[in-house]
Amino acid sequence: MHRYLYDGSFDGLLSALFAIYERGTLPLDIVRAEADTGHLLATPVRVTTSEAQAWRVLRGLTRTGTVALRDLQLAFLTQVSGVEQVLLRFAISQFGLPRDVDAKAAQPLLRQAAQAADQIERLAQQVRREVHRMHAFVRFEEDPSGGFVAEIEPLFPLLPLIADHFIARYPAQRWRIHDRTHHSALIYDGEKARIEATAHGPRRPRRPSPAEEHEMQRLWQTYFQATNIPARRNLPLQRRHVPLRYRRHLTEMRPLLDPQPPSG
Amino acid sequence: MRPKTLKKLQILAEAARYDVSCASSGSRRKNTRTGLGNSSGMGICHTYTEDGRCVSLLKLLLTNHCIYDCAYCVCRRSANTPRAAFTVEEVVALTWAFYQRNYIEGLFLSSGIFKDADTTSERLIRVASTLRGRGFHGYIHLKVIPGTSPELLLDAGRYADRLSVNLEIASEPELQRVAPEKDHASALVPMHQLHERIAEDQEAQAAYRQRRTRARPPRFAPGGQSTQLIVGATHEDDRTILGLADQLYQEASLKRVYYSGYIPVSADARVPQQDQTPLVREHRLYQADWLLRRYGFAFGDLLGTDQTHLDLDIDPKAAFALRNPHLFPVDVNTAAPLQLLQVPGIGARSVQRIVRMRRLATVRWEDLHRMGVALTRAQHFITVPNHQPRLLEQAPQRVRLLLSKPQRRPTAPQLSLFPLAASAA
Repeated sequence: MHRYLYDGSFDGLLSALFAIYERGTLPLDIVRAEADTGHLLATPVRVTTSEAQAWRVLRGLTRTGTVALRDLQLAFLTQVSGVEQVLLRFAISQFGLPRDVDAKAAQPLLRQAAQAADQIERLAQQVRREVHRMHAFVRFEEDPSGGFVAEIEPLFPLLPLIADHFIARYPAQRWRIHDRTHHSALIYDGEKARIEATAHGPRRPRRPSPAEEHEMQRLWQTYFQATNIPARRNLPLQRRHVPLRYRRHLTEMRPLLDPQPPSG
Repeated sequence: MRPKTLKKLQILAEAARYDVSCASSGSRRKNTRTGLGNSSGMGICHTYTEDGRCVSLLKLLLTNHCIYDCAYCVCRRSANTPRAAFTVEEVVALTWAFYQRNYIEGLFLSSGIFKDADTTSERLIRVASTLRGRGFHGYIHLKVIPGTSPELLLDAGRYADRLSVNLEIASEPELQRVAPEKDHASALVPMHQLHERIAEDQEAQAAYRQRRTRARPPRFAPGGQSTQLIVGATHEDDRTILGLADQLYQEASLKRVYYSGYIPVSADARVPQQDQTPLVREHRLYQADWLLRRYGFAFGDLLGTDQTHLDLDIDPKAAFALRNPHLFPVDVNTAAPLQLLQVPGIGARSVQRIVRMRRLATVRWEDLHRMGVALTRAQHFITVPNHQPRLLEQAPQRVRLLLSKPQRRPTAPQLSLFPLAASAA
């Protein structure tokens, strides 16, 4: 039995699938090399990422149009555990079993493979929903230098997927969106955007905002309260649309600000 | 920003909150290199207030001073309420700053009528033109004051993505009773003018896209127009309300008609003083509205011949199915997509999935479940090879009972964990 170790990239995983079919047997597991914890019985196989091989596999996977290329990429991006297996099963549904696998013994696997397309679509849909939520829930704060800063904690590392949206909206201001969950930041300097890794570390207490920013946040909180109709109070509905885990970073959901900005 | 702005914001947001329109969709507007904002055509709800309503646009009145005395309105002349008025610059600055922080998709601006229709409209338009002049490309929804002159409508459509004229009260006699200074014509005339201009504009844009004209014509209200009807402040039945809505969709191509369940905001004796419009009535109207716009239903399908109100206990699609048992059950594997769309519990997305699947294989019960069909409702109206229902034929009353939502029973008060502490306090 073999355990395939790939470099964590999408091309890496596709190269692993290539290697599996080349060898002709089913792997015990496919894991990211950095997440590898070792295994007593399986022989590790280090996969060399090859763009050419990855491309061939991807073309094969998308040939019938059962699942869109974009959905494969998004599903992979979730990095949920076992996503490699889902892609392998989908490969089996498209290419059939690897050469030396006994088809009779693999019957249950073939049934699973038939559901892989649905699983991939579901994962992709989760990413799309989270992207849509990030379009809505990013809250910028202006810092004293005139740049805008936001913090988010999305379920998936989706900064590359939201970059275009915010660049199109805010081409003339400098801004950065810091993904605290995945320790990276999308930084736009007024010309170009880039993604940088950021330091791991404990959450620092929120710094008080400069006077003008404080005022804007207070106005927004005031508006948020005023536009609510108390006679129609419906907290479960609100919670369905804005789950609690997003609220930490929503200006309007924080405790009401004092009339006066903190001095100093 | 001056401290007064905060107080004004509070007053004028509270006065604007009863207008239910919040859509920020349906318009595409590109940003420029130096501008702020865009519209992608897909609406974004940035947050939700405690009443569970979405906040997409900064919804404000320019002022709540009003010369009219409409009984249903918080801003009526005789109401004892604090008054305020924004300057054009204040609204522009607020919109800009909120948009920069990604709080909103844009602005929804309405106003009390502080002088006459044209003076008020002119001021609203000035806000929109100032924003556009400074490079704002986010969504703008302007309210058109009934009685606004055609020249000003032209201006409004240049700057706004969506325009709306509110009819508010569905029947003319009822409108006369609660708002004697108003009539339907003052709203319907601008509505039809907008309809013509929007149609012309769509024609011109199409010509440009097909390269029949060289220069891109300036756009006119690319998000179309909408209106609002208040439900329950006056005595119209659902037949009157939906009939009017249907007519507006047919004759003026409205994008949306919004229904606003009346919340008592007025001590005026001509309107109800207690909250007596059940939320479910508003909900049923919206459901019926969707059937008209998206599900290929005709107005005549919504209500039985002698029915004046929608059923409150079952949704309008289920009611239609129960009134027309001869159309059901439909065979999921052979029915036309429009027939499937008429089945309670099957939505547009399910129809799409069914049609896609049945090209390859026979659709069975468990497939429907996987596709997300609401089988508790749909089960009585469909057949698949492993499901042949009889109940609709044998006991339609029973089906009706099963479809109506169970009434919520009053719950027993929760027992306290600390009875002694409670009595000690």
